[in-house]
Order: sequence, then C-alpha cells, then structure tokens
Amino acid sequence: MERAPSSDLLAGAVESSLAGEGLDGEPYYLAIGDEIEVFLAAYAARLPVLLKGPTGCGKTRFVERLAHLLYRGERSTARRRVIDQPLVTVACHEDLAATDLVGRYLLTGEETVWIDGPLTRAVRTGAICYLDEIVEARKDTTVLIHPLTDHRRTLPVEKRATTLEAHDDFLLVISYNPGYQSVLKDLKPSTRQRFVSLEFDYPPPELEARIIAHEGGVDLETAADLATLGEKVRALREHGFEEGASTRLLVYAAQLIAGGIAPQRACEVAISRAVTDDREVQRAVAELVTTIFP
Amino acid sequence: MTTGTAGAASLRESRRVLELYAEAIAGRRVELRPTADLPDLSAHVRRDLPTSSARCIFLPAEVDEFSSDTENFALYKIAILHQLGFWECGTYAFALAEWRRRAGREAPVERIDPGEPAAGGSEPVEPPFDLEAFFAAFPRPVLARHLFAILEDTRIDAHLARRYRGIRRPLAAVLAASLAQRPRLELLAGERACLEALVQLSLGAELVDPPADGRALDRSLEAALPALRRAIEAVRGAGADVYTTALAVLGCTPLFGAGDAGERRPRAAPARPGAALAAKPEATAPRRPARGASVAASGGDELEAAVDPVPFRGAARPELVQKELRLGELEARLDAVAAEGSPLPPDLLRELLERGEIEIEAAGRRELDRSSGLSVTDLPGLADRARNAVRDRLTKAIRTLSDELEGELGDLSPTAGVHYYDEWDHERSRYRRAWCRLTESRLDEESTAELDQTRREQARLFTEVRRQFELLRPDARRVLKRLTDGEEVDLDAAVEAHIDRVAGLSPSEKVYMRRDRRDRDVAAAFLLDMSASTDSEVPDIAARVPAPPPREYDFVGIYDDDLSWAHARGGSPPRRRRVIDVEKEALLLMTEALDALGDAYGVYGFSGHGREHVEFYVAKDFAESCDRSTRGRIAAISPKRSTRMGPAIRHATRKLRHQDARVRVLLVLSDGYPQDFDYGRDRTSRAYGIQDTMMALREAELQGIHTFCLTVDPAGHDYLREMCPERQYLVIDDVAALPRELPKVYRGLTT
Repeated sequence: MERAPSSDLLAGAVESSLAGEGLDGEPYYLAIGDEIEVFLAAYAARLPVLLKGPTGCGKTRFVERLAHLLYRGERSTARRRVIDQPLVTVACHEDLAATDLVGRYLLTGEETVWIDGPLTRAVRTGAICYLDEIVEARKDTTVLIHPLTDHRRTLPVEKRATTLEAHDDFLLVISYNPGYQSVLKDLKPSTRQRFVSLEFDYPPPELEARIIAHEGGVDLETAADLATLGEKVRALREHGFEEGASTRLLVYAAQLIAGGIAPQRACEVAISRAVTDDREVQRAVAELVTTIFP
Repeated sequence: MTTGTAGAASLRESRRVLELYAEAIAGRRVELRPTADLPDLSAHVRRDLPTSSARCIFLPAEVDEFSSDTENFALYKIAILHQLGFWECGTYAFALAEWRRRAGREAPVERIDPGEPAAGGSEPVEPPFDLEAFFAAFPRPVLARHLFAILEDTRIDAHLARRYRGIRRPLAAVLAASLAQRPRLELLAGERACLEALVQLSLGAELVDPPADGRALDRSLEAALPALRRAIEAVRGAGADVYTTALAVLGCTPLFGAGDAGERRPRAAPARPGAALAAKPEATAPRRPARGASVAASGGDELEAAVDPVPFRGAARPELVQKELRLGELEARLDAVAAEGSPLPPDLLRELLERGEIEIEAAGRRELDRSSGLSVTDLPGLADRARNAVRDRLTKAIRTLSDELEGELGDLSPTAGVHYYDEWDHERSRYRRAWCRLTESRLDEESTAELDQTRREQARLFTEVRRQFELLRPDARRVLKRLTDGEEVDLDAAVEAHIDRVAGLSPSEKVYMRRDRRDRDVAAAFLLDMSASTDSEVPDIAARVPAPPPREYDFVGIYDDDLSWAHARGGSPPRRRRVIDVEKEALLLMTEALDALGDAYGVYGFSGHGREHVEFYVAKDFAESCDRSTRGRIAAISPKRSTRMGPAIRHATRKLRHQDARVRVLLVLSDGYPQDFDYGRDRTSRAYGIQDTMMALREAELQGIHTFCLTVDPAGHDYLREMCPERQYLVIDDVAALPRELPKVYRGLTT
C-alpha cells in the first residue's frame, strides 16, 4: 500500500516552480548591465551562478527570465523544452537541512518510501535549481552543493547510498544577500569560490522607473516619482532598517496607486510602514512622499 | 520671531524628523543646527537666515511665518530642500577651469590662473578657491556675489519645482508670500532698484503692469529690466547649470557700472564681458545696454545693505563651503602622507615632485634625473624629507583654512556621534522631543597596571567565573527524539510503533528525530554610571568582618548560588578603592567571562552635565574584540559629572537594537538615583529623573530588550522599585560583592 506523502511532510522546503502561469508568458526583466549575457555564457559552460544583492531587487525574477529564455524561449533546445518544470526554486530558511533538499524516506504504512527532494529532482530532470538565500539554510546543505558545482556534477544521496549524476542541462543557482545578517551568517569562501558571482543592486532611477511603470501599471511620471522616493528612502537605511525600500515595495505602491489609492496613502502602507517601525523615520518618509508626490 | 506661538514649528522639536528628511534627500548625513550656533562676526550673513556648511545646515530655531504648523513645517522642508539644492545643482562644484572653457578666454577671470601657479613662491597645496577667485575677478566682487546668489537661488527653486512635484504648491505659496513682503520697487532707485527687481523677478513677479499709484519705475531700472528678465529666464531653464548662472552674472554686471574707485581691484580697462558672452550661443540674449542705462555706482558695503534677503532662501555662502570641502581634501591628503614608517607611495612622491610641492636639492634632482624612470624610492632620505615637507605645507594650509572657516562658520569640529533623544516629562505626561543632546565618544586608553593588579589579586575569582561561563557554552548538537516530524527516523520509536501495530495497538506517530542546534544568541550591553559620586571610597568590609553568609536579596530566583562567598576574600592589603574601581573590576571580570562564552557585548559609560551635554563613552563596542586596548579603555573609566540616565539608556538601547541576537540584555550599573542639574524643573525632586529613567527602561523592554539595574546604593530600594520592572533590579549592600554578583545576574538573565 502506498500513499502519496502528504505535502506537509515536505514543508521544510518551500518550493515553487514555473509550471503553470509563469511558463506561458515571458517573465519581465529589464537588464541593468550585461548580466543576461554573462548568465547565458555561464549556462553554456554549466558554471554554477551566485546572485548577490539586497532583497527585492530582482534576483528571483532574473532567474525566472533566464529559465524561460533557456527552456522555453529563443535559447531553448528541443531537449530542454520538454522538461516539465524547468526552474525549481527553494526558499532557504534556518531549519532547511540537507534531507529537505535531497529527499527522504517516509514511513508509510508498513514500508518506507523514498521521496525526492527538490534538488534531486532538478538534478535528475535537468532543471535549474535556484536556492534562494542560501546562507539561511543549515551548514550541512553546503556539503551537498560542493560536488554539484565542480567537474563532478554529482549529488551524493547518502540515505540511499547512491550518487546521482546530474543531467546535462542541470544548473545550480544560489542567491545570497550580503547586507543581511552578514556578521552571523556568511557564505564560506570555499563555497563562494565555486560560483560565478553576479552582483545585483537596486536599478538606477531611470531603469527602476521603467520597471515600476511596467510592473505596477502606472504612468512613467508616477513611476519616476516612486523611483526617486525609493532612492531617497534607501539613504535612510541605517536608521532602524537593514533593507531599504526595495524595487518590489515600490512596485507594490505603484499597483496600489493604479488601483485608485492616493499616492501618499499607497506609499504609506507599501513603503513607510513596511520598512520601519520607528515613528520618526516613518514621519520623515511621509514628508518625503509629500515632497515628491503632488 | 516670537517663541511659543501656537502654530510655530520649532527646530528642536522636529529636529530628528527633519534630519532624517535631509539625510534622505541628500543621501548622506546632514546635521541641522540652529542659526544661533553661527558666530556673530560673520561678515556677510545675518544670523537668522538659513545657510550651509559642508556638513550642516543652519536653520532658524523657530518658524512662525504662517498661521498653521503644517505650513510652518513645510517652510522648514523648503528651506532644507533649498540648501541641499546647492549640492544637487552643483553650485559647489564650480571650477574655474570649466568656467574658462565655457566662457572663453575673454572672461575676466583670466587674470588669475590657478592652473599655472607661479614658479617658486606659490603654495601649490592651496590653489585659489574657485568661487572666491571668480568673484574676486570682477571689478565689483560684492556685487558679483550678490548677483550670483540671487540667480543661483532662482535656478535652485526652479530645479526643486521640476524635480519634486509635491513641493510645487507649497513652494509657490512661499514664493508668493516672500514676494508680498518685498519693498515697493517704485520707491527705489538706481542699483537698489535693479537688484530688488532681480529678486522680485526671481520670486515670480511680472513687473509689467504700471504701478497702481501711478508712480513710474526708476528710469535706469526700466532700461535694465529686459536684461534682468533674460538672466532670470536663462537660469530657470531645465538645462541650466552653475556656469549658466555665472554667465548670467556676467551679463548683468554691466547694468551696474564700474563701481567706486574704493572698491577692490580697480581695473584700468573696463571689463569686456560682452565678448565672452558672444562666444556662447545661449548668450545672444543679454545685450549690453546702452551706457546711459548703467545705474549709478555705489560702494560694496552700501550695496550689501541694499538687498533684503529672501528669508527662506537664506544667505548661502558657497565660497565658504568650497573652502570647507578643500579643507577635507587637505586633511585626507595629510592622512595619506602622515603614516609614519610606511614608505611614501612612489606615485604620490612623483606627483609631488612634478607639482613642485617638495623641493630637493640640485644633487638629489640630478640623481633623480639619472635614475631611470624616476625610481625615487632609491634616493636615501628623500622619502622622509618629502614626507616632512608635504606634511608641513599641508598642516599649514589646513590650519590657515580652518581658522578662517571657524571664524565664519563657528566650531566645525566633527559632530559625528551626536544624537538627540526625547525625554519623558511626567508632569506634563508627554515627551519633550529631541530634548537631550548626547555625544558619543571613545575613551582614551590608560594604563592597565591597576586593573592588572586587581586581576592578579582576584585570580581565583576570575578563573572560577571564566570556567563557569565556559560550561555555559551550548552543546554543539543535541538530538531531539520521538517527534512527529524530523529529518531522520527514530529507529527505536519506529520499531516500537511497528511492534505496536503488529500487536494490534494504536501506534504512536512520533517516530522521527531531529538533531537540534541550540546556539547561544545573546547580545549584552553594560552601561556604567560614571557620575562624580562613584569617586567615593568603598568601606572595606572584608577587612573587618568575616565573610558574611549568602544573604537573601530582594529579588529571587534568577541566579543560583554556586559561587561561594568564601572565594576572593583573600588577604589583599587594604588599598583605597573607590566605587568606580569595583565597578571596573566587575566589568573586567565580565569581559573575560563573556569572551570565554562567546556572547556579543559592549561596555559603555555615561555621565554629563545638563541636557545638552550628555556624554556617552565607549569602552568596547559590540563589533570590537576584547584586547589590551579594550582593557586600557576600561581602565580609563573614571568619575565625571552627573547621572542623566534616560538618554544613556536610550542610546544603549539603540545600540542593542542593531544587534541581531535572540536575547538582548541591557545591564545598568549605578551608585545612586538619576540626577542632573536640569533633570526636571525642581532640582531637589528626584521624581522627574526617576520617571524618565523608568520610561527609558520601558521603551527598551518594548523593543524586546531585557533590562536589569544593579545599584550599590543602599537606599536604592526606594527608587529602583519605582523605576524598574519587577524583579529586574538588585541592590548590592556590600559594594565589594559586585564583581561576584554581576556574573550571576548575567547568567540568570541570559539562560
């Protein structure tokens, strides 16, 4: 008797994929520099990629865009096009252990059943595996990554005493936010040196305005104002919040504005309340908003 | 301006918000200071007008131009935006070289040419300051500065309205209000009328309608008006930069005649700025008016008084800011050459030689020329001589410059580390906003001889505590068994479950196990009272009385009593020990124990004198490791002045808040109740200080920080009960027991 494992047993790994909605349309991503070319070249050589940058600056979107490009878009191949789930994203957290990535035996009924973890599945099928915020995961996960990231391209599956050879199309991508809890959690040099590093930051105001206009559905003038606001609020990063107003938050504000909320109120709920609890910083942000928005 | 008007906005109350606002706009820290901080002797500035230095913006202490506080607050915002506009619009970036390129060689600045310093005698580290040189090149420098200021103000306001859409309306209101306060043009004549007209045009006046009372404008003004209007239009354009303004100044000066012979730098031949302007395509507009239109000249000082400033625009002195920036550059260069022992970088040396900033004797020069490729490091002694020469020059230049700037702008000592904190006024039941000015500074290291001696005397206690703290270190791994969910199957439990099932019993689902890692995740701040009273001597109980038995304290249960009192009662020779010495000893003990344990911690002291001078001393910050110099700074902890506890607690809380730890602890060590000469209206009343401290502690608790107060004041029960949350204080009757008690308290708090 075999039951499908209940999904909460895999709750350790929060997983999402491009299967479904994301696959049909091309994810929007506006290149800031040569990151797309570099990633494509890295993929061609199957070099693992490390994305560095603050929260909400577009790392995940970038990976989605490239997964689409490589598995569905103009850079796809027949072999890649049939891969069902081309991008396996795992949001790492402090309880994420190696077994959550590789897979585990579950005791169902009278027997144990092996369930592949997301990383194993990607290695097997030839997908891109994207480990978001890798430093958050437990240290034992990095051990798994090492043999996958050099010439061996293998994944040891300890529990089954086997070693899985990676599919030719498999690629490992990890992300890492250096500003965030950097003192306590840092990527070990031995790990970091296995990756091609692409640095991300919030886009320059002109580009950010275009992104906001596209994603938030507002006119370019409003988007430019939001980008200006983002730039100014980020200057206050030291005052009680580690992360400035991300592009994502600015897009949220834009979406609220597009939904008929007055700009000042939209910025209040999407930005000032979101980045800090300090009342005076909130007030200062509110003053910025009234300065920038008519 | 009156004080205390209902609708007025005050700088003191809004300082933090406004500083944050300014910081966001500027993208760097900006300090806001009241204009009263400016020295009285400033030559060109009225003391109540906003102005800037490189790091600060000076603003009036109160604004009550408008009836509502919202509008008055908006006026502060506009004044800040305007002052920051000089940075945004590149006013301070004005460079003569670029100006010369833009204006063509005909510009009047050609006489002074900083690009080619005169050989020998010149001071190459201190070339002319660009804006100052620009003004000085005019036959009437004061007039030039005035025109420049008015036109730059105009350019910046136009820029602000373009860039910050939200400010357009309030800015327009402020411009209109400012215009309404201007003197009536038709009552003025000559230069005054022209300058005033320029200001009014810049504020948005049309100046086309015939004056209501029929009095005509001054004839010379009538003639000059088109040129003034064109200057204003030019600087308002979207592409205008500081050189546009400079060109417009050049276009306007002919309207004002050549000035008195008394004014500086009389020139034999009149300047021909028109030629320079003709070289520029955009300069076709300002035509030189007929000679008759030149208004009567007046002396510089007279002119000074003739233009009323526009209050919100203030009185910018960009040439001073440029000097201040140059001062910063010079200091950075001095830092680069001052590092004794390290070789002067060859690149720098070569550059200095080429620029003639160091002289070497002919022999050296010959040697230098011979040595291929300027390998100057080969020359014996040259590096040292060069370093000294450069340092001397830089030091001299810095001193001259900073003296001059201090005279103009007041004390420019770096004010990093200044924080403003609210204070709780229990009588009014509200916070006094940004009431206390706290200055953070690092203690200077002192000899640790005395501390080391104490440490030797108390070696046993130190070892004991250290060992105990080592034991507190978390186990590397702990296995949690019999869980409903985990990373591995708990074999024992699984077998049991299977057997249960076979046996027909209901099996347990708890068949997993998990290896759990329990990290100690603690950050602690020790805040030490450095008030004058800590100078009092500790009664040497130990010398007289045998070791007392463990006693019952007011609070229970947060520590166990495994440190025996019998320890550390060694027969040390009686030595004069003050309360502060015991506190230091306790701190030293804690630093060693915490290093063994690996917790993050900071050691701070506080004292001060009045609300404007709360001092916060850093012996060890969280990020620093504990080493000899840390001990040196702990040794430097010494009795100072009073005990204003509230702001110090708030500042320590702020530091702890930035620590990423699960458990955050603030330990306050004091020897008495909080007091300061202005801590509350009634000096004799303790209530104000106690209530404020209580609020500060409560604020810390609300931010998830555990607080604990230790006092060696036997009367401490009275006020600590009021001040501290329950079970979060301890009164130590015997001061000498502090070093032993502190580790226990710490353990109780953090485990």
